[in-house]
Amino acid sequence: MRGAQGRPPDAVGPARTPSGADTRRGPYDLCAFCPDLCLDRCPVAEATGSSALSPHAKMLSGWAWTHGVAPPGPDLARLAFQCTGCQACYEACEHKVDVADALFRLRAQWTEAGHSPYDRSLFLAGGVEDQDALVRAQARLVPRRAFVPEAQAILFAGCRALLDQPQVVRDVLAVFQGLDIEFVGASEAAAVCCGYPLYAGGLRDDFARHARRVSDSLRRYRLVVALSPCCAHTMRNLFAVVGVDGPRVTTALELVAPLVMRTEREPLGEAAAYHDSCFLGRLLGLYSVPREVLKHVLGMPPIELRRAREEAPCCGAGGAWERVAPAEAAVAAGHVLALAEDAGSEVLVTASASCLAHLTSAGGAARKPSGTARADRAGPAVQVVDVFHLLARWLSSRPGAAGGPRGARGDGRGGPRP
Amino acid sequence: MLADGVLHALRSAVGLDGVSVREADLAFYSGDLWPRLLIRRLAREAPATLPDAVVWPRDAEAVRRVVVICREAGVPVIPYGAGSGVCGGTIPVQGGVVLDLKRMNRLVEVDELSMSALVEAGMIGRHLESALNERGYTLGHFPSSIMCSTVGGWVATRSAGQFSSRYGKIEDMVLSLDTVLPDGSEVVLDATRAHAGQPDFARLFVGSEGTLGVVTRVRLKVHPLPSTRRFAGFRFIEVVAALEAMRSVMQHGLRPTVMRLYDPLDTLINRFSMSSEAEAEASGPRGGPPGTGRAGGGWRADPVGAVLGRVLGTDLSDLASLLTGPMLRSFLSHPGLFQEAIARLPVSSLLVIGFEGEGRRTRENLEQATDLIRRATGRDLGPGPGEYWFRHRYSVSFKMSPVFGQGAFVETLEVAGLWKDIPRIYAEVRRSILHRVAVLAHFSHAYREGCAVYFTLAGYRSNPTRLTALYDEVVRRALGAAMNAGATLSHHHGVGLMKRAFTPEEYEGGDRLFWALKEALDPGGIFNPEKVYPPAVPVERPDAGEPRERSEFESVASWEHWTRGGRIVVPEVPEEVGEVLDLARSTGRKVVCQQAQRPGEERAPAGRPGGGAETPSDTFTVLDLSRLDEVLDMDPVSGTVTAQAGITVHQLENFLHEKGFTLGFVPRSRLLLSLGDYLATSCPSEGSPLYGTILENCLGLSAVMADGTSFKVRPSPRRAVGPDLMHLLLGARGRYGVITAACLRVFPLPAVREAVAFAADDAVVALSAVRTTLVRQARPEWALLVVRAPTRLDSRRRVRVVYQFGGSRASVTTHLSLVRSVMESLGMEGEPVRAEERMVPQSSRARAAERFLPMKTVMESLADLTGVEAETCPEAHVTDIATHGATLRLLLRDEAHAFPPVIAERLSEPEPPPALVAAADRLKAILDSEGTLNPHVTGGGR
Repeated sequence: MRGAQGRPPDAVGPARTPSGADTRRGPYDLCAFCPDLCLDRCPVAEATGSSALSPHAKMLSGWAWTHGVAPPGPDLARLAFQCTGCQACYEACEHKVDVADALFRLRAQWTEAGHSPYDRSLFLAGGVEDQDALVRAQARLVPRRAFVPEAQAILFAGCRALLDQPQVVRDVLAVFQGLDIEFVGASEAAAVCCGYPLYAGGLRDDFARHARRVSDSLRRYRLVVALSPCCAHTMRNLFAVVGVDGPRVTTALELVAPLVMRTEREPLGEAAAYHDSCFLGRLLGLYSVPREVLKHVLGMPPIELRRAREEAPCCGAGGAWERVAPAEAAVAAGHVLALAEDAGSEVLVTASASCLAHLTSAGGAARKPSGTARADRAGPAVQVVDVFHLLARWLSSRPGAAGGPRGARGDGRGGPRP
Repeated sequence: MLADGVLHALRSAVGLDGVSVREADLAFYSGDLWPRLLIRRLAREAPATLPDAVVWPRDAEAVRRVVVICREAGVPVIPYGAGSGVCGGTIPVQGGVVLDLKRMNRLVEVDELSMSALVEAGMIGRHLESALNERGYTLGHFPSSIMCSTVGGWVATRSAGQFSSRYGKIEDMVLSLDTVLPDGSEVVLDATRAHAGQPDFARLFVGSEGTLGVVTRVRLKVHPLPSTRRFAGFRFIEVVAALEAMRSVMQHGLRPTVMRLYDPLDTLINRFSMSSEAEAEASGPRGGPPGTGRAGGGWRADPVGAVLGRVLGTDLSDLASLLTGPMLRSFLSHPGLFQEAIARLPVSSLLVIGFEGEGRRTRENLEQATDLIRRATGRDLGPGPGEYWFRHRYSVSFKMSPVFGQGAFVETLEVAGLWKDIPRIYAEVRRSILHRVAVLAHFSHAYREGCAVYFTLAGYRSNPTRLTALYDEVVRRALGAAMNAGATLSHHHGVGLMKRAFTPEEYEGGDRLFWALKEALDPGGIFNPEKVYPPAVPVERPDAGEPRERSEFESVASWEHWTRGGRIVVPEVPEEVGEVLDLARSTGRKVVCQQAQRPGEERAPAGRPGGGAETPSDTFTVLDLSRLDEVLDMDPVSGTVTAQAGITVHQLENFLHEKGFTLGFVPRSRLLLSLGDYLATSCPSEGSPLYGTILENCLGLSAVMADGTSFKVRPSPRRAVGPDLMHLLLGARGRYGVITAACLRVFPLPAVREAVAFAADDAVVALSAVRTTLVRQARPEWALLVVRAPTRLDSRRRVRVVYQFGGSRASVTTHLSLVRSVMESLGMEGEPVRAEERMVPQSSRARAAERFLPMKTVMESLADLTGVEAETCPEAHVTDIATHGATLRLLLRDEAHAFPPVIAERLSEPEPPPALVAAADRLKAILDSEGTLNPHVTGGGR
């Protein structure tokens, strides 16, 4: 598995490179004298057109501060917050400098030193400070029967799905039902934000406290099924950064993929492009799974965007960038939609509620439950859908010759249902 | 600091989010990747100068508005791509506004018929390439900075990619430039044709490093994605032998995608990097037997490396890491010792070569190249080294930061020269700095007449001040040594601030021309001040001294005579040209040089060009260069000839034939012209797929400018030294100066020439087929398509396609076979060529009109011809056929007939943009204030 997953939590930059690169030099030093070799990968630099927001320049700000070349202040600190944490630069770097990790640490340092240009409320907004809203949303979306106290696995829907993309939650539940996944329950304890905005906002202490609370409340479950790859990454990797043992987490897609592959249904027969979510791809290393699922469901391989897999551009939703620079983040999303349009696809599938919400708000025509496109949005004529939406539709179609799912109950019995 | 009003105006022009005065932004945009700035960074010093604002326009209109605001406020404008320049070209030395174009980042259009792409200047190279790849095309431009450089930056610095031997440099790819001039006007500079009497602004803008205006969009040639790529590697004991191998490959007409020769030290570093990967491969399933290239074979088992490893007592599995690691400072503290030790070891040099294209041709080309390289004593190492190079072709840039991390610097100097000079350039540069810094070199960007030498220098001093001093010293020494040995100053990095002190050496007398050009286009001097040339050279004409007597003029030329039309002066030495012009200026005479007219154009009466009644005829003097007819130098090694301008093309061609060479394709109508006339009146599109155009083949020249000053451009295969000032003269019809000599690329006389003709019914299909053959790398000496007008006896529009191939028997056979296969697949059988078809036909009809047009437009025009009534239908000739366009010539049988209106409109020369006419006139006024030379030539079109 590639990407940042599995790296030791306490190291920065080269010290934790898989290639075993020289660890004596700091990440800032390598980037400060680099000719900007990952510029083409950075969604922030691309969306803003600014070289001053390239990974090289942002790392240079850290270098300038630590070497006393530039005076600290909000102007300099702002640069560290212009990063989506997408890890595209990490993939491009032969030294394997973890720029996002360094910048997120820098954010924490700036915040601690009182130089952050952003108010902390910006990162608390939404599910972090309003857990009740999440609980209420979950209650509306998840049937009562799912709230089983003795469930060993729990659905962690995440703020973006619960508050912004409720249809994704419905689709996931429909898919669970269609695949006879009965062992995943629901709980108010899981109607909580994973805390990623706190981490990305440089509120390291708040994040640590939040992570402990979330981890404690989920500890009793053997498996947390995160709907959002962002939540999965946060609980799986970032909790450890602040010394918190996270729960055992899997993504909903990973959970359903083997069952989907064993289920025979009439393929949808539709062409669709696939956008690699940074969290699912570069950070959790899942590139093939969504493609295999889509190929099975669509009856054809998904259309590959010209920048895909490790080189896929971030839509701008990560790193709390859409909170600090919403207009620029929307431009980044527009670039992703344009790629789909260039590839000749009218439908863009993503496997992240964050991407779905962000791409949709940036101009992608979100598909309504009825399947009709929203006509009130400007922008490219590309419909953005979540992979679970396609799965739900596919499962609602006529079973194929081989019948329904096999081994889908989680009880080890397997075989098609009567 | 910008005035509030200016800042407000800028924000109105590009929006609030399009302007930044944040200190952090200004600090970042204060420079580029010039290593001298990085040394400054090592010393923890803040930037010396900051811009006043950074502006991100979204479209050309916003650019225009910004330029107007800055011009009116006298604020410098520094166009900015992605900051990957290495010469300080974007340092805002006088503050001002940095104009970052990266929000203009779209691939606007791909014209598949004309094989061209229109791209906004701010598009990052790799994004463009991937967008083209998605459509099945490639630009073929792969600089090491492809991930961090923009199309506009490429154009501004005359960038070169790693595959330049096949696809050319960026100046070879540009078809047109959309620009915003300093006066705020938006003009399209068409590189496929020049306006008579104007300098070739398109070619002057390429490489101008933002000193003349802003490029907002570029139309570039594109190529189909290759289906196959093959590599090979060779080991040489001697660098010189390897250079001979490279020369041999290029002069046999092969066009490798890449051909790079690493000198011993560079090879040593590469070898260890490769060995470590080969070890890894060998342990896996891909390990192959020796000699297959897999796992290195003979490559890996190099005894020198093993010995060196034992001597240094360390594991040298990756010498590159070692040299950028703990040993770096020790090594760089005593670079001479180490390098001399290496020089005493039998360390070999590595040559990698690769071809791409269609499968069979690629294999055949590589086999032919392998044969040539083996004959030059190269030992075949199989495909491994080449494939390794391809996989790691961008890795070298990653090695820069670890070197700086050790407190050392690394600098790259890329010079170019003719083959005859390359060994000396290499030796002299190394000798000049070997004891001060580590010097690695590789030879790449090979052309028929020369190549580039890419030196990598690394130096270390413990004190930043001493490090800067070391840097300055070695750069000065290295560039000086290179230029003394005959190199051009820069092949593709440009000049910026770093090399500007050397620019006057590149173009002798060019500083005055540069500043004149600058003043003509940018009188306020706001565009990227102080770059390319040392500052503060006033644009003043040389002092004419005391007014001279007219009688003095009579005796200046050693040979003159009078005709009925007036005086004809015939200089015998080039210096006399300058004297004639100088005296003419001081005595108020006008001088007419024949370089002002193309054959076939209406000539002004001798002695009274333009027929101006207000000027007495005896004040006109015709400058006849026919006695300047010597061949000054024939260099068979590099394949160049240097001849004076008065020699006729025919004479020169005869001379070359005797030596076994040819100028290549010369239209019949140009054979009797003098060389100077040919160069001064040629069009950029007038050429041949095999030989290119005469303007491309002009590698250097000497001229006398209108004020009598001399101007020289040293010959070089390619250069990136500011605007290429040769284009003030080439095609400019003697408006600004008189070409007195030129150095031209020449070609071996073909051993075999064979022509083939095909008959077709449909002109569009036939032209499409010709285009296909060219796309598939058929390289005829010329190709021609003729659509005969219907006659009373034959109402059909008969289409004939004629190709002539020249070269070795094998090459001609290959090309003929390719052409036949394409044509026959479309039902066109080969036919004997008629005598009159052996040369491109002359127009001898009642009226003719012609113009070079994009291929798509030519095809549309041929399609439109089918609807024209038979009796009035013109005959059509399509010549100068290239993949992106061709010259369409229509000929009417009868004066009373008219060209079809739609086609006539396409063929009519558009009036040049008024802004360009005005700039050309200003340039004339600056360089020739009295209008002494060719006063009848104006910049308002033909």
